[in-house]
Amino acid sequence: MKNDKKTILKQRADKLSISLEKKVVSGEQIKVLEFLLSTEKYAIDSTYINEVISISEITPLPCTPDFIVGIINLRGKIISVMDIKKFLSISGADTANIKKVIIVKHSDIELGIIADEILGNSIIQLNEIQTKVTSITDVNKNFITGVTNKKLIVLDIKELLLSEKIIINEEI
Amino acid sequence: MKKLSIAVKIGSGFLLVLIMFTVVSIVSIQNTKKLKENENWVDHTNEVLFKIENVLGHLKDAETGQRGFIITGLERYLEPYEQAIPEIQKDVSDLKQLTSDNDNQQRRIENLNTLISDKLAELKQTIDLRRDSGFEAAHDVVVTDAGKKVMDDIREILDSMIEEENNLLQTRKEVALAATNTAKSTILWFTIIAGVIVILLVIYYVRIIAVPIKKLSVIAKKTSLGEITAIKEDTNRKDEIGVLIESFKQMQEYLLLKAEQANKIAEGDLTIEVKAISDDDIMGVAFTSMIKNLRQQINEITEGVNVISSSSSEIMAMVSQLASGSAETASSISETSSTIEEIKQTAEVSNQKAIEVAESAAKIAGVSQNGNKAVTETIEGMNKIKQQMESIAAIVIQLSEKSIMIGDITTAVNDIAEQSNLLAVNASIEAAKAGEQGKGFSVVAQEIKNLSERSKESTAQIKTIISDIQKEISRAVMATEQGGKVIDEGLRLSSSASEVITTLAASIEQAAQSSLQIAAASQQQVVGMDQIATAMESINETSVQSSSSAKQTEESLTGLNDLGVKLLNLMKKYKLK
Repeated sequence: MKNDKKTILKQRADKLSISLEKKVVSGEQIKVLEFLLSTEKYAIDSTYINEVISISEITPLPCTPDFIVGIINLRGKIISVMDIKKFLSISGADTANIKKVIIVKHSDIELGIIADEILGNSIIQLNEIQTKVTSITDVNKNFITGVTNKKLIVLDIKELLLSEKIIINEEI
Repeated sequence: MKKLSIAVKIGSGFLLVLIMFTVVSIVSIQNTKKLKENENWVDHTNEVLFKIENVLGHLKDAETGQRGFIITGLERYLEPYEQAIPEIQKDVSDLKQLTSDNDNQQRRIENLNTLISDKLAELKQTIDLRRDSGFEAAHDVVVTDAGKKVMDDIREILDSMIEEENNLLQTRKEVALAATNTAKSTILWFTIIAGVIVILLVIYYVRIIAVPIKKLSVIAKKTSLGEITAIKEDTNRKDEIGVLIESFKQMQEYLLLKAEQANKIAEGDLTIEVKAISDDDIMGVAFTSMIKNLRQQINEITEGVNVISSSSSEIMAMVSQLASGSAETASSISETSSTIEEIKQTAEVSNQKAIEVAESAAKIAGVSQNGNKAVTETIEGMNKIKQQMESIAAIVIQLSEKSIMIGDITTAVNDIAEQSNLLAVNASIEAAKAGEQGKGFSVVAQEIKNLSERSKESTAQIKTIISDIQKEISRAVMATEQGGKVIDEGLRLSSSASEVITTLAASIEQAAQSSLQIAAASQQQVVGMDQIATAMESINETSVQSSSSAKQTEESLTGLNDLGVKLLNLMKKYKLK
């Protein structure tokens, strides 16, 4: 038993020591939030993120595109929630009842993005991001900054929030 | 003569002989009658003579009594005198009656009567004198010789009467003798004539009846032996013999005709026509129907012979099959024999086994009682187990409820961990926004995140464990329910087992009896098998014989086939219309 505890502690210590080493090695770096869409890992720059919430009830809105799931009430503020999978045409099953919503903000535009799973914060080196990836479709190319060597897809949330697609102006 | 019938001839001959013998018998009867009459006359004469002697005798007795009395004077000497007096009277009357047909004798009896009266008177006188006057007076009367003279006259008359009767007797004897002689000669002559006539008749009959019949009988004898000889007798006779001879000739002709027809039939010529003379013509009718039947039969026989010749070839094929079949039978029989030996051994074994089964059945009867007891105990135990199972089921249900509660708690814990994770993420975001000052805080947030992840892992583990426990509990519940059912089933089964064991005990008793019977039966079976084995040996011998017989039959059939061909050839010889 003592040995088991020792090994567990040792592993933990090793993990922490590696993260410190990385920090030492890093040049220009950004902090991101990692999350899962279906089985793929995605990341958003932490500077645009207000907070992460867990919500069970989303009020659907009529006369909106597919990717707008509905609206939520967050401490008195009404925020629209977007299914980014439908927006980016990523295949995958519908998400669970209890949904994680990432609240992002840029120049007064606040938006909730549904994530399947929140993986946590991490720091990535900018030079690690490869911008030219052929597998990414042309339509979505504008909203993706690049892919890290750990197959982490980094979304350009600023571009996404400012894009014309997101502006809802449908007439019925 | 030739036109008279035999019956008339024989009848007239015998009538002649009958007449002759009638004459002879009449003569004999008359002669006998005469002889009888003569004999009666002789007897009559003898009786008359006897009476005459009697009269004289009695007179002498009377005289004797008179003389004795005179001499003695005693009354007792008068006894002959007194006895003779009535006798003399009676004799004289009888004599008179006997000679009533003769006048000479009647006259003499008249004289005699007178003389006898005189004599008796003289005797009475003298007797009275003697009694009255004494001897001298009587003597004087007697010496006068009057009595003697009467007596002499009586004697003389009696003698003449005797002579008369003797003469009569002599005459009658002579007449009788003459009649006898005449009869004798008459009978003799007639007998001789009758004999001659009989001899002549016999010769005649022999000539006209016996001789032709003898000849005919010789010819008939030959005919009966099949030889037909012609009759040379003349056929002028119209009497029965003539008819017989004629009929015989016709019969011979008829027989010769039939013989000729039979000869033709024998040669196979069935084309001849035979007609019956009359309905009573037995042979004619028989020949007609014979020819008709023969034609029909020969047709049928020809057909039959054809069938036989074809059949015999078929039979030959069949017999050769039979021969091979009998060989197979022989091998089958040897197999059967060995099988019977095996069956016999099996029967012996089964006999032994049946005895063992009977013993076992007795043991099993005891065991079944123990079994019944054990089943009762089992039922009690089952009931206890049932109670235990019910309490276990209650406990398991409680456990199930508790585990559900644990599940609810872990869900809550998981939610908390989730929230903690998000909080940690948010904290880390806030720390990032804070810049350098937020670095320490970000480490704390990381630690919280780690803790929440570990909580999640733990709750996941607990969830899996609880779900496992839930599955196990539901299985346990089902198991207890099944256990309850199984125990109920067990109770039912053990009660039925009790019944079964009771029934089994009875059955075993029956089985024991049955096995004894089986033992006896299998013993008989062994004996029977021995008999079958003996029988099979004889069958084996028989089959060997039949095998050889089949071969012989095959050879014989070859002969039969040849015979069929010969018969066909023979049948062709018959001429039919």
